[in-house]
Amino acid sequence: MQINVREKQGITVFDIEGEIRRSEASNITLHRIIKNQLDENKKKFLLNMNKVEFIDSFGVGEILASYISTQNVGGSLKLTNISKKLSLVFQVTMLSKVFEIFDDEEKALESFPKE
Amino acid sequence: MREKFFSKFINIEPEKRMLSVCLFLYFFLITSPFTIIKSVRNANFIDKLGKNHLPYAYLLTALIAGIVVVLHAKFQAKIPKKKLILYSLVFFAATNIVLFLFFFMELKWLPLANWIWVNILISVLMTHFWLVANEVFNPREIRNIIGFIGSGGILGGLLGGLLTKFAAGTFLYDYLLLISSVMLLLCVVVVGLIFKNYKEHLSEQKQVSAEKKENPSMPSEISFKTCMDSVRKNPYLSLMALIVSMTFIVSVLIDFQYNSIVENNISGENNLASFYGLFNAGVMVFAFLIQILITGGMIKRFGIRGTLLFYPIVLIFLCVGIFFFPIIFLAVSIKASDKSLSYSVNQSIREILYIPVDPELRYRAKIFIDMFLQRFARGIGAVVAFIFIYLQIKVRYISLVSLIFIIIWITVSLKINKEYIDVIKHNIQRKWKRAEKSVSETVDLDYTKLVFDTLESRKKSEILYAMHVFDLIRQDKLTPELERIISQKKEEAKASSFDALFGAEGGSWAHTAEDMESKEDLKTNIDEVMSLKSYQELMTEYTDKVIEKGNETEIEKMEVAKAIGLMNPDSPLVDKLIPLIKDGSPEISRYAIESAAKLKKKEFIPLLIEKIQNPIISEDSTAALTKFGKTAFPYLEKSLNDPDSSLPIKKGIIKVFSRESSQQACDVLMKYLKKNDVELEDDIIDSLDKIRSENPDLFVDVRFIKAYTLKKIKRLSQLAVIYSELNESEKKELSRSLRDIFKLLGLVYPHDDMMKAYQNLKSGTKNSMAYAVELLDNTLSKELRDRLLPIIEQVLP
Repeated sequence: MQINVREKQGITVFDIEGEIRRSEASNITLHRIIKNQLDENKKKFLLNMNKVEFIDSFGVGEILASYISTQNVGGSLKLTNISKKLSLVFQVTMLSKVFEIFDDEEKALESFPKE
Repeated sequence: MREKFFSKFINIEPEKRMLSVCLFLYFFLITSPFTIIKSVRNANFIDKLGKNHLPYAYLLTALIAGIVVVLHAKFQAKIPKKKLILYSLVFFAATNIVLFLFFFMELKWLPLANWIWVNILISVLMTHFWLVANEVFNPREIRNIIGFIGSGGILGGLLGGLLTKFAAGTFLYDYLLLISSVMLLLCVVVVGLIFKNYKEHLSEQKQVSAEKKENPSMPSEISFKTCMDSVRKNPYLSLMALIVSMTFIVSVLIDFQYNSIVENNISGENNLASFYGLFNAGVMVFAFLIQILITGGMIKRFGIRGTLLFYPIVLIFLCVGIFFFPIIFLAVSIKASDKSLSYSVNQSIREILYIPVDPELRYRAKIFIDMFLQRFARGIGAVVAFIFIYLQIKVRYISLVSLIFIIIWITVSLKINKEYIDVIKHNIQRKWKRAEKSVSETVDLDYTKLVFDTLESRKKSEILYAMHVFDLIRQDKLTPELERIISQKKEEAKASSFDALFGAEGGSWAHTAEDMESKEDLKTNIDEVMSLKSYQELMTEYTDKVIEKGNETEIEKMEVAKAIGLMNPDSPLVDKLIPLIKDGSPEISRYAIESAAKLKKKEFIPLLIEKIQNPIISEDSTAALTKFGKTAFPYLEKSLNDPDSSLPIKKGIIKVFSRESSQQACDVLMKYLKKNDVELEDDIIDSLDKIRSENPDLFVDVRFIKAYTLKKIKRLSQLAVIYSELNESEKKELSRSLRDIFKLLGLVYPHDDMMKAYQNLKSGTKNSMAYAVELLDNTLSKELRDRLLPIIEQVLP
């Protein structure tokens, strides 16, 4: 898994590439990266999953932990460009009720509250 | 130099200082003419009509006040606020001149008309003044500025009193009313200036209103009835109305008692005017000193409740005194105390109580309370006075009646403090809540994990996939939607025999009665096979082989680890999980950890604790340990207190306790907090906060937490003093400490209130920040409040 971080309209966008899975994980996990960003006082995150091929339970755990850490300091974490199949799984597991998921990046960026 | 002067006397942000000075002048220019007119009026009334006519004056004033409120409401509906205030000032200045002309005519009805007119003048002008003051300042600002603007009114009263005193007996006395008219006209200029400044703050007020929920029940029309209903239907305003009523009833009784004793001791209009002028000036000096030296400090030290009680308690002592010794000294003392405390402490605290009320509601309430109810209460006082005159009861006995009203006044004052805090709380909202609970209430995390693992397992092995599907079936969680998703053959290298269950093309498995039956059969069959002795022996042999083989059998190890979790906890195979948990491959270890959590054997616990330090399976380990519940507590506590345990292990254990979210978990964490482990302080406090947010009735060692918080605050205050000199990382550290302090406060004070305060201080508007500080000011103990509030004012934006 590869994560590229960029800033757009005051929102930190994470372009995730590859598979978010246990076997691919290193000591620097997605949750750790988000926590570092929170320490930097950044609180608006968008996970761009356009190039994500697969997520396992570890990956879901990472996204959920990142979401909880962000929410607990008054921030927001949203998802965009998730595959159709993943979207279905998110619906079946009710994860779609927890995460705000957008079809495209622009709409997602617009949805963040303006300062 | 100028800056130093301003910041010392006007403790408010620079852009509002000019506005404060204008309000000081505004207050000065209405109380000064009022004191002149009132002194002249009192002397004229007592001299011409005598004290026995006072109750008529009070009653007529109450009646006419009602008519004035109706008329005021009509004007208010048609005329903008600025014009209404300016026109009122011009109207009273003009009518004052007319009265000045009438005074030369020696008209019999004039003292009574003058009495009523002066009361109407002051109630209208005062109501307008405080409406403006309340709108341009938030609660914090008004607390800081009330001493200053209040002293404007008192100094105005002092000037008016002294002018009357020195003019009495000279030719100037006849022109006092004319002088007061000039002052009222000067006030027109000041009000014009204030409205120029007020416009700049109007947008901020709109923001406040936008923050609050709209009140659709509030009628747009402003009439006497709507104003009265606004008070009647609001418990907080009703209490305020009751306090004001009691204050003014008692005030009339004291006034009647005082005037009766004065009349018995002093005679002649000039002597009376001189006495009243000197007395009013003296009262104002006294009130000024109280306002400057006591009011601010008293509000700060004793809060709203203590300050509210001070005035009636002083009156209780003097009432008792005058009952036993009805002498002029005590009469002057009680009247002076009543007036000076009314102008200083009581006026300030009453205006502070109005602040958190929604501006529109406050506008209506002030019209009803300040313009009508005050006069109406005086009317009730007058009725009591009538009874005394009619029955020829000695004046000293008025004290007994006063005492009854003062006791009601004190009782209501005690109640309004709680209501005040509730109104403050209502004005600020929680901006966010901890997400753990909402996530766990929305998502079944075990099921979610199983779904994702099932999907993933298809890529790995047919057996592993089959076991996951069986796990779903066994838990009755294989819904038709899920079947559709997991049976999609796209991208899958290995098809599974389980796909047959979902139909030939991988479509949905129709949930017919037959299908349900076959699912049940499947569960029974597999469970039966797994419990067979021969199966267990065979599997034990197979498992040993797989474990012995080493790295080349990773998939097989995963399958075995998963399979053991599906077995009975008494199976001899369960022990085979130990090497699998210990396995270096996170994938194998994870499956074994999951199975260990299902089987809940105590011997797995130390292994699971060890595994916490691997970041890739740390979450799996903490989740598994959480499933062990209280069984794991002794092991977890031992490891937490073991100096050889690594930091990640300790952090993971704290996470397990926070997820357990029980009193026992809280006790363990509290005990550890007492160890002062700096590295884990943040985690412990956050976990305690999480537990508290889910269990508001949790018992904590309040004394320890308060002492601990105070220690943290003291450390923080040293940094806060040099805040501007701190670098970014020090500022972040300070911000983290402040967050921890609020979490600690949430353990001993209502959690929701502390979080509301913190969140609004952190990211609220200027007004919601002010309400947050006000909430803290009225909730925290004095020691915590005195140390924390200065830090907040220095550190937060």
